[in-house]
Amino acid sequence: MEHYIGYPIEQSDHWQLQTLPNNCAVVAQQSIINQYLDPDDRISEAEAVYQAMSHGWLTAGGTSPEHAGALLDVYGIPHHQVDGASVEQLAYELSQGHRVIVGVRSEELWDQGPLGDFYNWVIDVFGLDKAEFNPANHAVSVTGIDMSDPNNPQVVINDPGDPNGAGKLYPLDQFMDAWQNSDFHYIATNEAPPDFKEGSYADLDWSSILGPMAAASVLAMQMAGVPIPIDPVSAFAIGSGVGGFIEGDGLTQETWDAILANI
Amino acid sequence: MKEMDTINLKSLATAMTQTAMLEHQLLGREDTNFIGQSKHIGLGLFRLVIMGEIKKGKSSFINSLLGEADLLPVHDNVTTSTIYKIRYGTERKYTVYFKNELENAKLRKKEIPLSELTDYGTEAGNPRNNKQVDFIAVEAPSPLLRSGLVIVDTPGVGGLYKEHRDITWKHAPKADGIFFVTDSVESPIGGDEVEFLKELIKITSLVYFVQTKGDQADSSEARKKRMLNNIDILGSKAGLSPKKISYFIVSSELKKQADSSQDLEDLHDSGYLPVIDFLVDELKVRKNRNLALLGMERTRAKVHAIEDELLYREKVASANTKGEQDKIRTDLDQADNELQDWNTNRRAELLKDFSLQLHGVQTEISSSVNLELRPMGNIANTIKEKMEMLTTADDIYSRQRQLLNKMRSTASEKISKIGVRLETEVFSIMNQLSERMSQESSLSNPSIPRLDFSAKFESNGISTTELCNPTEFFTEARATIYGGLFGVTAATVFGGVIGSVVPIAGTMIGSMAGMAIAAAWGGYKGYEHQASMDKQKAVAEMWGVINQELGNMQIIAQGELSKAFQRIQTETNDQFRNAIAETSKRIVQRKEGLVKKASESAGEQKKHAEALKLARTSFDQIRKQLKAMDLVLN
Repeated sequence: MEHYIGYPIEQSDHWQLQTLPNNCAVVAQQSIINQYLDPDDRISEAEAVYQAMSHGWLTAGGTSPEHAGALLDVYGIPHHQVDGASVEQLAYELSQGHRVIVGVRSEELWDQGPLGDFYNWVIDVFGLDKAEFNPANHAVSVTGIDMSDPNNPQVVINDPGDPNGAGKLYPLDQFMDAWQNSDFHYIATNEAPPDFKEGSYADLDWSSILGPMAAASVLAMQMAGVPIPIDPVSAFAIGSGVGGFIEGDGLTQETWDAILANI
Repeated sequence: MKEMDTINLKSLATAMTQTAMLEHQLLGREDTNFIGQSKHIGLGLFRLVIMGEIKKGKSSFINSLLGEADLLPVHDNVTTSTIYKIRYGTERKYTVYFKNELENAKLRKKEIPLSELTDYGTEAGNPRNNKQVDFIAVEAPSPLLRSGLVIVDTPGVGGLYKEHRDITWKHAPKADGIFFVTDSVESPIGGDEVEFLKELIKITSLVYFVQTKGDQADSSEARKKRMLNNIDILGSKAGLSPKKISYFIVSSELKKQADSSQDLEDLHDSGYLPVIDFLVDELKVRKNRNLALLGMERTRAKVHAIEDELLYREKVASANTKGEQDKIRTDLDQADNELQDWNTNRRAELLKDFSLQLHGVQTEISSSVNLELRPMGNIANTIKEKMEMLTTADDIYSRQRQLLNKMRSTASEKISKIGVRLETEVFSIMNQLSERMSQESSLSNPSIPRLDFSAKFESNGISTTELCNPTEFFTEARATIYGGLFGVTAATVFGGVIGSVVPIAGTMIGSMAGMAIAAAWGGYKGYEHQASMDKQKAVAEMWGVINQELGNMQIIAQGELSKAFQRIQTETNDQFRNAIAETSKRIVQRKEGLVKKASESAGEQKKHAEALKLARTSFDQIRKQLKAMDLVLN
């Protein structure tokens, strides 16, 4: 019996194949954006590419990680980015129905042949920093984790670069290897899509998964703007007022007045 | 997706905020400046200034660049007469900011509808700026602005009104990039523009060129011919190296059409893609790098203190026997005694030496300013030589504007260079103080490992007014609990001093130079002369004018210098005093903490242990983030 963290089946309907060699991040965002829009308002790949190119987010080399969520902003979808994330954090996001994009090294997922395998082996054997020597070069949506066999969890992704990329499964180890190349970076929406129905697939005990290690990660997530139901104060004992984020860019009108006067 | 070689300011800002939270939790300190700085850095402000002659399409260029049709007025009979400062906002908004006569007077501003924009921002609606508009702030929901871009649209550099030119000059030193706009249809870059550019490039090298109205040229060959002609003029007459000129041809009309229909082909043909890519991939990345360096420097200064406290608490948490706890208590008493002893016997002496050195620097810099700016000084004589080469009084008066502009730009250049030297020298004596502190602390207690504080300063020029010095203030300090106290003292002092003083130093250029330069450019008047005045009298009259203006600049520059040095002295004294007081307080808190631990229940101890584990995890994440950022920056 299938047992998922997240909602990969629904999301596989929104998988899209990229038609340009460099616009994986654009298409990944497009497929997520369309899950938040009414069917009549959904955007095409061409529209998404236009927006990305006309704002400098998509160039010949592709999309840089800092712009990988910029299209979500255009369509008013709040989101956050996390670096150095853990699989627990990823699982938490998925369980809440958040839509997630990660940076991966495509060669670690796709079969690149003997030369690619050899290069990856060299990086691994010499313990080289993957993010530095073999950085991420592809964006995919992570839609779920298949826990049917707890000893062999499989990560489910929608891969815009794979013609058969809808709901593709990869062993967790392999996925983590590929994800490590982006230093475990992800972008996630703050909320599930409007028509999200909380399913009963995952009935895992979160308190057992979110141990002390993940609680600190949860704090990082909260600081990044994710509405977390778990109260970090009891775990972290921090006073109020410090590091509180203000809506928007975090600056008050008075601060902007001062900036503009001196600019 | 592009490979990960970009600087993620938002991640850095998050690491900074996390650091602030840990500082609050572990050290009981709330540094609002640091928190504010983290938000500024996360914002990644980039000042893009648009300059050029009137009616060259500057406002159309901006509207099309941002994809915001009709944001700024662009009709044929409209001439921009004031500065527009454009930033991100969730919806379009226009706010007029009025000039304030008094320095600390409350800001006067008024939000206006689009229909009233021409009443405040154009020559027709607000002749000679009767309404005393300082600038108009514009908010627009353009995604390009959301990345921290702020665009400053200036009035034309030539044209009828010299005040416009003066306004434009004031913004040159602060710009992170300047797009100089010319067009494809009217004449190529002309004499006025060349003269302006020659002076502009003395103040900043960040000047790039945009040729608008590409669709109105007869053909693509005509467009290209205009471009080559302009580059030739820039090379031969403005002193620019043609190979290094960044030059773009655009059509705002085509971009507008492309945006309307989302047509990629029109977008390519509009010529805006290379401009946007240049802005996003090159200019902003460079600025982001500087901001990242600033953020890293400020964060590292705090990380040292936080780690010291974490290590102490972890040691206390693992001291389970009475013997171990007694040892900690004894060592705390000893550290307290040593600190008080140092405070009593050495602090005043160190600060006195610092003060003397600072005074030396101030005297030297002040002399340099005087040498250049004083009436009948170096700059005045340079201009006089040029005057005397002219033949008649009419020649002199017809070139008075050029002569005065030459005087101003030379003065601007000199002041800017003096400002950079000033920063270098102030940092140098602060570094010396830092090293002496390090030596003091290791000598006072033989069991304290030597703390190596080494700081190197690299000046990165004058084009940015925020502090953007790539400095490494502290190497890996081997902090034990007690040596760490002294290390923390120094770290706190210099973290605090650097944090508060260095912005002062950084703004010396912006403040001293900016005020003096602005005073020069803002004070322009035309001087009339009598017909058939002889040359000698003309020279004498202009000489008087030049010296008077230089004198004004000198007074302002000296005033700002004096204020800046006063602040450095005061801040350094305060930071030392505060650091000692805080370290004493922490020793007391640690002693109290030991007493409290002895009486804690098992449940309370477990809770504290868990909180400590979380703090350690958070700290390690910050370290990791800093390391990752280091890799990208280096």
